[in-house]
Amino acid sequence: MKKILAVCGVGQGTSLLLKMNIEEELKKLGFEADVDNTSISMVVSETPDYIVTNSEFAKQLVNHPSQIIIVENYFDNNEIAVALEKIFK
Amino acid sequence: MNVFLDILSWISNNIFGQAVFLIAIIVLLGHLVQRSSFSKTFTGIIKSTMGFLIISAGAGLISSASAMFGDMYTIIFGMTPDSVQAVYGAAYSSPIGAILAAADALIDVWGKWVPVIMTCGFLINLTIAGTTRIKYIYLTGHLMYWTSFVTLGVALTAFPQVEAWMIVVIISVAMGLYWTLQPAIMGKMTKDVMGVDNLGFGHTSSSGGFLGYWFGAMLTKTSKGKTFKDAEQINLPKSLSWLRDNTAVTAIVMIFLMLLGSIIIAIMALVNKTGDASILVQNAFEGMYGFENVNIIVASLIVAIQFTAGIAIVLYGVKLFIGEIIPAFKGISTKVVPNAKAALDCPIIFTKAPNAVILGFLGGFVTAMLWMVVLGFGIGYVFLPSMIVIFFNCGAAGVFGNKSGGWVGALVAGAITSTIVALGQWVMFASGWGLGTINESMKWAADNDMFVIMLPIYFIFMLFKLAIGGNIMAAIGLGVIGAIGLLFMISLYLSTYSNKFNKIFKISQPIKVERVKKIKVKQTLGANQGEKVKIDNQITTESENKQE
Repeated sequence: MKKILAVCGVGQGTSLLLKMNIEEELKKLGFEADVDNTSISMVVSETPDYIVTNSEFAKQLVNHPSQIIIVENYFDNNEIAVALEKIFK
Repeated sequence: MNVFLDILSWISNNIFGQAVFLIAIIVLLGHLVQRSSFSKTFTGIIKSTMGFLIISAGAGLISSASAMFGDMYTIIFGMTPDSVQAVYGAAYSSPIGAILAAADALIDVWGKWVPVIMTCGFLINLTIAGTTRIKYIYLTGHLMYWTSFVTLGVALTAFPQVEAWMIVVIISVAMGLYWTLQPAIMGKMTKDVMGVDNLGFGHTSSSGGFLGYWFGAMLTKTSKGKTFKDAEQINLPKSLSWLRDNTAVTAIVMIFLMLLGSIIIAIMALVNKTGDASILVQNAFEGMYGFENVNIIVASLIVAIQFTAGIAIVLYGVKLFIGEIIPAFKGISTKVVPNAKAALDCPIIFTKAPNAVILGFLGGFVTAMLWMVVLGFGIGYVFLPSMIVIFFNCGAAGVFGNKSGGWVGALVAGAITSTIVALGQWVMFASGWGLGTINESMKWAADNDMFVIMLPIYFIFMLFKLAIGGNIMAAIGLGVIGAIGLLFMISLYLSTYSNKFNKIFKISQPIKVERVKKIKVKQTLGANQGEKVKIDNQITTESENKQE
């Protein structure tokens, strides 16, 4: 089971919605993963397989061991689907 | 028969009387609706109940840390805090114990009703969205939590003998209405910012954003066609992006303010060896803030970090708890009202104007510091500038202000937002109407719309108190004032959907300036290579005589 973390500034509202959208798209694509959400400060100490975040936060995660998936608009399910497909196919 | 009653009372005390079980029941229902697997349901229940207990723990840390902040600045602003009323060197009456007791009582005794209020409020929101033309479903979970919590505290302050059913009914209705109407009031402006009309803006910064947008529009109107540059066309230094890491900003600002305070106190203590400052230094040294035999300056540094840690803990707890409830709400709403628009957290508009967010934050931050000085020396109120509120609320307002009034609009919108927070905090915490029940532990969480909602809630529960206390005349007077306030709010709501208002204020849509938008190349390797792509400038002029 791969672990995915959705990341935003405080790890509250936005990353939760991103997490929900990721889960929705994964279901559509037929992939399985364990998705959770957290804040930019917390993610530094965690090593999931993938981190989904936007390029602003990605700048702060340059040396992070996890693979970073960039999604600019957290509420655009198409963009999320495209980004996930690239990774999981 | 008696045995049956005993069993019933045992159940109500042990099951429904405990927050964790109430939350567990709600989360269980949510997972049943979503048809989750057993393992997911079980871990969900554990996570959410754990989250609720974590919130309690974090609130305690925040309380004790902000008590030190308050004590120090109270002395600096020339007053005597309760903690130094005692004689020098004698046992002081620690206010922290009382504050902690109040915070714990609120969270432990009344906190269990928050998830119930959230659920009832959501159902009201769902009903309105399903039956009227207003189609917004509010999904900003952590703000549902905080707004319910803070208004609950206000209700308790206004009417301490309140019954639980009153709180649940009245606040649920108030929340349901607010969660439905707030995204609708911001609807037009959100559409202007987003360019699309399929999402709503559901965030408690909306009153600041609303005023910021109007101000920006006035600015553009009065500048005789000379519009201010769009914030996105200004090259802000890249080094400002760390401001998005809230934990860091909160820590830095708190460390700065605490060190500044403790150094001033230490100097005051040297100058006057028997004054309040000396007593505070001595009390701090004796372990009043949890650090014995430690100099006040060192203690203040640790306490500043403790404050930030407290906030981080509370946020983590809220995250665990919200993470189980909101997916259920979303699942239900998409089933029941398929054409609903989700009203979401403010970062949906952050992506449209990242520079405006920073400008709004800077405008708000400078204003907050000014208010801290003005309120402090003016009336002796110690304003606690909560960086989370300042960043998100001023940032969101900045985006709205920038849309209508360029970079100046963004700065001013941030300043307006900060001003509402500062004055709102003073009115609600210090002017005798205070949130005595939740006190310090909630100061950092209360923000713009919450202060606006607090007033009617306060009025309603005050009415109850007066009516039950037999003071009918006062109740009638208060009712009239409340009705006027309600009418004002209704007219504000109508104004966003009526062109008459725009005609009176002669506001039209400002012409949008040409903008350069960055389109990022998506990569999966952290670093990004942006390339600038020119977007055709869209000039939209709204016809003023559009049908309502």
